[in-house]
Amino acid sequence: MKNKFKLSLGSFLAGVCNGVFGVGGGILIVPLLEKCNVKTKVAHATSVSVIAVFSVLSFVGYFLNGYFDFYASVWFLPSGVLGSILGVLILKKIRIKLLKKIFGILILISSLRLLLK
Amino acid sequence: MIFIKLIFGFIAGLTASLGLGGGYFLLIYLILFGHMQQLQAQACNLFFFILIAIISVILSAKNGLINFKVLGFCVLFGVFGVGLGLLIGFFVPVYFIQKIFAIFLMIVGFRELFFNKS
Repeated sequence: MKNKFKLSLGSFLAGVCNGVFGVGGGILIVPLLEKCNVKTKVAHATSVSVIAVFSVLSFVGYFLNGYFDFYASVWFLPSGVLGSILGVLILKKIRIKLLKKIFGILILISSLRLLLK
Repeated sequence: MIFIKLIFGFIAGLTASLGLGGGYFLLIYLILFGHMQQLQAQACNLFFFILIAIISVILSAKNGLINFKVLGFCVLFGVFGVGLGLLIGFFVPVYFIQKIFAIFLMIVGFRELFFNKS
């Protein structure tokens, strides 16, 4: 019951993050799912699905308010699709722990740059 | 320039489907190097993620990696959060959104480096 409450609150906060920043949410949902005894790989995949739904809703809001530039966005798609397919194919085989460390370092550096911008 | 966009698109797609948060990479690139305004970058990022996520979700579902019951539960509560988030995002000045985002990223970075045991 306690975990369900945490998951519902985490989902709400993930939705807020997604709406405010146009990104994120999975970072809140994945650990909560794991605490609910969902296997790590399932937690990651399910989290992507949850965030996808949030992103659709958020995108509608941004689009209706005129913030979306199609021509600026479209160039990322072809290679993004390839990367996504590769990611799903290797998800079952890859060691995520090391990747998360590298990811953490890159994110920290970027955050400092953004803060000082 | 287009080549760099393709590279970042690939990395973003790969990390998104691995559940590492590919959206962070793309959004950071768009703001810091693409010189896009914060809210436009966020819209672009959402668009990108949605299309990539569709592929990821289809393939993950095929591999039996999605728990649809949990998905429904999270979405039920998350939609209200999205609504609140949009209100905050559109009414708070962009300067503050950017700084709060930077702090949010810092928390994410620290968490991935020092507190992530999975």
